[in-house]
Amino acid sequence: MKIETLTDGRRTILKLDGRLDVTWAEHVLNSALELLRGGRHELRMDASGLQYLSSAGIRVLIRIRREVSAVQGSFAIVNPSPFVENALRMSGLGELLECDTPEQDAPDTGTGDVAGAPCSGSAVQKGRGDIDVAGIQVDVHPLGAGAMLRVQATARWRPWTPVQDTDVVNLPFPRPVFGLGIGAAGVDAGDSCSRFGEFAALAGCLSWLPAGGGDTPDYLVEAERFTPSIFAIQGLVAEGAFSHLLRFRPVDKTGLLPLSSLFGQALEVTGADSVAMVCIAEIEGLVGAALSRSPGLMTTADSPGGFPQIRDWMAFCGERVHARHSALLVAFVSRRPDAAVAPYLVPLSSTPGLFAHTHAVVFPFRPLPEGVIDLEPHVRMFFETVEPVDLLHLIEDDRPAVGLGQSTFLRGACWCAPFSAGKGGAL
Amino acid sequence: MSLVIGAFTIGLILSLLSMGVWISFRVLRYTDITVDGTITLGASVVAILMVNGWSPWTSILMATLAGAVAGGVTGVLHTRFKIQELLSGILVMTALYSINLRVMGRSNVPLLNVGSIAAPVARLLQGAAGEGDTLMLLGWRVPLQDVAMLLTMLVITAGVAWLIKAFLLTHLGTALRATGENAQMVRAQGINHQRMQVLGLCGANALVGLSGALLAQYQGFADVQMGIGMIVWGLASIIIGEALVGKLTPGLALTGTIMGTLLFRLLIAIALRWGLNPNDLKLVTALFVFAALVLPDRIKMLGGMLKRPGRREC
Amino acid sequence: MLTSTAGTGGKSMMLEIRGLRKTFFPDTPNEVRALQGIDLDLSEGCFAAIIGTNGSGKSTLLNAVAGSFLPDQGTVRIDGVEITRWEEYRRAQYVGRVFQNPFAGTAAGMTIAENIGLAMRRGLSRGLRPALPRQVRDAMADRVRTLGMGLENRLDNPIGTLSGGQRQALTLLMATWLKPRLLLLDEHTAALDPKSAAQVAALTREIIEREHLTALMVTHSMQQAVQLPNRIIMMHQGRIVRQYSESEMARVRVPELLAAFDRIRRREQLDPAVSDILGRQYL
Repeated sequence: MKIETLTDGRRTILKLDGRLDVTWAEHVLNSALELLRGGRHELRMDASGLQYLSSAGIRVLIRIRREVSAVQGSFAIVNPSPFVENALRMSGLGELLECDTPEQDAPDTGTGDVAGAPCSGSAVQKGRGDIDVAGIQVDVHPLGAGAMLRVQATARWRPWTPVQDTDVVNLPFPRPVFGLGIGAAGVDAGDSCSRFGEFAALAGCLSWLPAGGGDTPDYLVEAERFTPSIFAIQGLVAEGAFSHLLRFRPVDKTGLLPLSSLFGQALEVTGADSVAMVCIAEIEGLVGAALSRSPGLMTTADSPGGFPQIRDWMAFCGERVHARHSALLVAFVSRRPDAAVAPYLVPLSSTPGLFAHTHAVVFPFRPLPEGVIDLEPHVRMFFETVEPVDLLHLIEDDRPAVGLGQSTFLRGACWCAPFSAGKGGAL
Repeated sequence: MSLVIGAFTIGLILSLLSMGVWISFRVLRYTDITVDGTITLGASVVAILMVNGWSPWTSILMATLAGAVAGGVTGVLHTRFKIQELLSGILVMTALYSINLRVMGRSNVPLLNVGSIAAPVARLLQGAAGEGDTLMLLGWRVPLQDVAMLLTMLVITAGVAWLIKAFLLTHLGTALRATGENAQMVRAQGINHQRMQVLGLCGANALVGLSGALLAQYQGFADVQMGIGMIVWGLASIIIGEALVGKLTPGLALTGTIMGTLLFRLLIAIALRWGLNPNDLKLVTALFVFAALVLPDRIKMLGGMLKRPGRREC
Repeated sequence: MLTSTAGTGGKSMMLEIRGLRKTFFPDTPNEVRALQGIDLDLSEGCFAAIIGTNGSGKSTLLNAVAGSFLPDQGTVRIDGVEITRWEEYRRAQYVGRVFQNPFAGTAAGMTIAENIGLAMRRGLSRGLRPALPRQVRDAMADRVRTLGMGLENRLDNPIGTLSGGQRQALTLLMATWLKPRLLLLDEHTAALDPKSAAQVAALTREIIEREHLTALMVTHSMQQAVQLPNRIIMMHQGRIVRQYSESEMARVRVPELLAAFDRIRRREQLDPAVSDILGRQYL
């Protein structure tokens, strides 16, 4: 099997030569997914050289079509041999053949103008600014002028003091609310206290890493009458509407977006001193840490902050991790943090004067459609199709020489808005 | 004919030495060069005891024991005091030089007018052959004493070889052989491999001491220099033997060693007869051992164009 | 089979290691703290695998039990008998061993029968009786036949003519010819081709189960560690960092072991400098 990739405007043509059977199915699938990951959403498969198509091959074609339609792209097979055409029609996949597809794709005019993206049409028309950050193209889409978030520190435990019963707050996360912190979902506060770990919540989805319970995050997703909630000892919670959507992608092979640059962009675009954001992004490398032992198990005799005891309480990623995965980020950034949230934001060593707190939920890679997209369905798509593999509190490793630096991303979407800090209390 | 008888007699005597060297070099895989000192020790002990009126057999027994002790010292130096095997042999060999001089009191002890171990056999032969001190053998007239000595040595060597072979097939003997093959394995089977090394060296040097004792009796003197180069002769004999019969089983290897020694002595006797300068003998032997060690590999490298290098070298 | 022992009340452990420490090349730049306080108990019939990274001390621990060197501190007891200061050969009366190198467990130039003959008197006195009388050879052939390798017809062949897998199978048979109180297996399939390795692994399990042996196996193969033994001991930097008990063995799979190693590795990377960063940047 030989695969040739040709570009025809926005379309990318995969020219296959040989037999698409079980031996080569995986390879063809990966080639197609790789193109999809690279932002090529209009795929055609030139089947003129395809001698044979087995059911394994057909399964691959179905899978490619599913992945492509998830990002509102298009996929069709062109120039099939009679055998391939017959095989496709026999399996009820005739619509995959280009000749059967109505010639609907209008000539593509601009990158930001996305067909089939039903959301926020009016916002897009208000105009957008394009910004370049060293090899990264950032498109700015205003969503709602003057939109503002209210942020509260709803649970206020600080490391490293033993957890009191009064520290534990049950935080619900309905769809419009997002946030991050430390906690664990469970039957009651007492049941959770041995598993407190980092959590992040957005779009009705809540994920947390139970400390001491292995390495895999657990999660809850909002359903008809169920709202995810967590027993938290620390929580920054935001509610309200987003003012801007930033879409970023690399324009050349070196393009990377460091987290601090994303923060800078968000602050600049919103013109605010404090911004809260959620983000879906392809990871280039994450640097972070997480609790490996619940603070709820701490006694007054423990001092988890000191070395080497900290090894029992925290796990550090040790290297830049989760490249080529997707991350859901929840972040709070400020130049001048209000006293109510200041204790929960830490200074960034890479960018003096900036304070932030970021949690990242890591998933296997899923592509995103281009242009203006809605947060909620895409977040849910992650929780419904794949499972989270990790959850990290992102940090900047500024050790000289051996430091891992900060987390960086390749492409993604970031919804943000200025926030004002409110006093604590139930939302 | 007397040349042949002489060569065979001395060959049989030195077969004991070769078997000793075979035990240390081939069975234990221990580069023991105590041998050069031990053979002189055996000779000097037997000489001084016999000069002082001890019976030949008791003297030989004592000489054998002395050899065993010398081997034991080498073994203990190596196993207890962790001295390299070669160096421990050198130390004992060097010390033995002085000890041998002390034992003999001078550098050479002639054995005149003392009994011979061949005496009973000689009497037997005399009875069979009637009067006279010569004997007809294959049409040759040979001295009866020489034939008696040859037969005695034949009995001793064959008996000792059989004993060694039988020993090597016992539980203890297999343990000894395994020690040389694989000390790690031997320890894992609960065998004290160091004790086995000492035991093996005792046995090997006992044989060498016995050989020295018989050699002194045969030659009629003990000389402090007589041991020099003996180890190389032993090695040469082993190599020839391995070329002749291989080394598959202990029995074969022992037979080969004896045959090798006999053949080697015969070759030397012939070479000397043809005019080889006796002073060159040790050089020639050393060259031979060198060739036997190096040539097989070289010849294999040449693609096996020449067959059976060992025999060809003979 | 259990001999009651002084001092240890109740059921005594077949192997008891307490506070075992060993440092190689102490006070030199090459100092290696190979064992840093090992405590380990194996009850009778327990088959435990030791896994660990390179240099974790897993082979050192096995060699300490076998007596290849004497420990700096701590005690080793087999079936209640303290053997800490015993020499290697003396321990062989209790311990059967199989080595990583197939050549290490047998004497290549001696016949299969002679090698087995040596193993038949492991830890016993060796006298001047013939090693291989007729009736012994017959019994020998019967037992070698259980290997199913046809070696019973080749008893008089030098063992050096056998393949690595055959030699290792024979070594295993030899190590268990007299039932050892403890069987030590030091990566005994690591040097074999995959097919022979699988064969020897299956044989190992079969013999250990049939003879109800207590065994300690060092392995580099996670797959083997998950499949063969009924306990896993995970070592890192001279310490036992994790153990999987018999009940956990039912569910533990290779990825979990790898993840456990990854956690250990990451734990190492949390050094004082990282600790400092976390102090500044972690809330």
